[in-house]
Amino acid sequence: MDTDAVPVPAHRRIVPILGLALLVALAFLAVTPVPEQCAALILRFGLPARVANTGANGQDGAGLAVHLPLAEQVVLLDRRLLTLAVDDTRLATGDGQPLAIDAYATWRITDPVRFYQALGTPDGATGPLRAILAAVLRRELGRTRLAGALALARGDQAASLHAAFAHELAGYGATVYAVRLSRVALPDGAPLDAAYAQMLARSEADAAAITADGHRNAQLIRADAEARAAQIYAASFGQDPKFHDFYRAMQSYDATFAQKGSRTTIVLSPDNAYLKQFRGK
Amino acid sequence: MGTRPVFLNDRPYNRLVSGLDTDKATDGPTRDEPGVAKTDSLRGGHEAVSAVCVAKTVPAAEGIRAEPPVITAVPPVPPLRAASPWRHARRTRAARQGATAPGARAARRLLRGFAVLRLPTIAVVPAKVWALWLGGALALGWLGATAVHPVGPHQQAIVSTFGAAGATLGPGLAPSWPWPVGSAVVEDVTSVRHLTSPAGDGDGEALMLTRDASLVDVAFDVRWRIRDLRRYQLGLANPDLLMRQNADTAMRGSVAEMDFADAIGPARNRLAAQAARQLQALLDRDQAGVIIDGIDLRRSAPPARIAEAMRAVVAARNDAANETVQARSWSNQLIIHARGEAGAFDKIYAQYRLAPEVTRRQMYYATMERVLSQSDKVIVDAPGTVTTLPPLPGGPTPAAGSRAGNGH
Repeated sequence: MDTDAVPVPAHRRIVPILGLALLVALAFLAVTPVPEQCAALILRFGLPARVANTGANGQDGAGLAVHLPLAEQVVLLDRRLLTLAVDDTRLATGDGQPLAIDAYATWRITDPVRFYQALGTPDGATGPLRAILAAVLRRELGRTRLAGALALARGDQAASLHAAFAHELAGYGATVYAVRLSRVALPDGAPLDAAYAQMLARSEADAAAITADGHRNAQLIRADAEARAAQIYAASFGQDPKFHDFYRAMQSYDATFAQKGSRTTIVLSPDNAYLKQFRGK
Repeated sequence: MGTRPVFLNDRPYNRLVSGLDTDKATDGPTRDEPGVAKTDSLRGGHEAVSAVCVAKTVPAAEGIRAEPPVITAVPPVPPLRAASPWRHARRTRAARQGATAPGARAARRLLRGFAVLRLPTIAVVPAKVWALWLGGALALGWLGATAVHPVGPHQQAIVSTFGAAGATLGPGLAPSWPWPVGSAVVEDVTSVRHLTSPAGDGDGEALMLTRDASLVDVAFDVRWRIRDLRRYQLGLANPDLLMRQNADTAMRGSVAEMDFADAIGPARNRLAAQAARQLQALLDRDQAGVIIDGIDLRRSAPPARIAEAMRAVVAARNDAANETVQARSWSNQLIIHARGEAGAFDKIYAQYRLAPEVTRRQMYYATMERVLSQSDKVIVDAPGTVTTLPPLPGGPTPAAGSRAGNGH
């Protein structure tokens, strides 16, 4: 009885279980979660069928994307603000000044279909986009001088750089928001040495000029003071030049002869005014 | 067989009993006769345990206070020992067994009780119940770990379902569908974050070009916070890279607007403020949802290779300043001296004008007094004496004689 009865229930049991499993598997294959930050491109056997969650016109398609199982495949493309950086691009400005430039562009995928067809995924597109950005930098900075490059680094006239890069990316379904120079530097080696030499020369000249300036200032200050002193003397002594002569002579004698321990021998003639009374006349 | 051998035979026991009575350890004799000690000692040890010890240690080991039976059982023994030397051993053994039996029985009963209590709890729970409990715990853990997200006072959360982001939630408990359907991003939005440039520990040299094409080595810290978690979390593919690039751009742009002397001089505080403003503007244009609290300039100095020359410039500047200060000080002294002399002259001149001749004479004599009192004096009274030294032979004759102190 057991051997006869077993096949029928087993058969009956396996079929629905298998069917259910198949349905569940298909259901799993028919939905793909689309994160908020990604646009979904749905390819039917490789042919772009439709897109979801592009963020265009306020549409918000994040969540589960429903598609045909197996026949349709979902490609997720980051639609956040992407940063593309190129480091240490060597180039020369119009006046022959070599520069090492770091630059970056901020951009977004705005047309997932065109972007996917032209460049693939954002990660894969990084290489080609870097090359394009470097080429644009060389071309645009090649037209300017060093001052122009510095102006670009300050953010002045960045529109031309932006326009040039946006023009290159026009057909790729990407929108460029900004192109900025994060570093404008002199490359190692001769250009940097030259800049150093220039700075050294400038600082030496500065030091010499500062020293000379100091001397001149000091001299002027001293001369000014001497003039001032002379003016004070003149105002005072000019009241009576004869008396000043006498007064100054007395001071001078005091200073010259009247010092303690001075060994001066003075020979006086009796005619001397000091000895006027000496003779008893 | 009289009482004597019995007494002799019984000596160790007697000692034991006396030991019990006097509450004294009787170690010596029992050690002399190990055989007796072995047969009598309940513990079987030959280490001469006294009766007191036996009585106390046995119940203590079983955790039951069984002293009364021991003590009551032992005292009746001494009268018996006189009757038969052999019986006493049997009787004592019996008495002791009787004395210890209640404790042992109680212990066995207790052990059995434990066994009865313990065994069912281990063995009887069915596997199904266990699986149920385990499954329940796992499910609870899964729900607790992935369906509720505690959001701290400094944090905000964005909960998403199948990737579609919901509203931004403040502090509290943020519920979501459990994994893998739902997920949540919880981020600190109030505490200040730091970005150090140059990258790494910030010790490297970052040379920036100034407006006059010189190089400045600049190192700085950016303090920033998340202002809009939604924009920061969902709008930027690589926030760190964007922050760093923007910070470098802002700082280099600000340095490029300055001359070298300003960038390393006192104007560098302006540099930090300007860079912070510029960085905020760049981030706003990128809709990064980030607020810049400030930029701290850690270093703004000439590059190491020309530091020596720059120091020479500074030294020259200091020297020049010193020279100026010295000249000023000398000038002040000069003028003060001139004023003093002029003032003195003015005062004397005022006196002189009142009585010119007298003042003059008075000054003359006073001075001459001071002069001549310090000198050797020679007065030559012969008329026509030349008061100069005789001319050297062959030398030129002096043009005129010197006349000392002619008051006119």
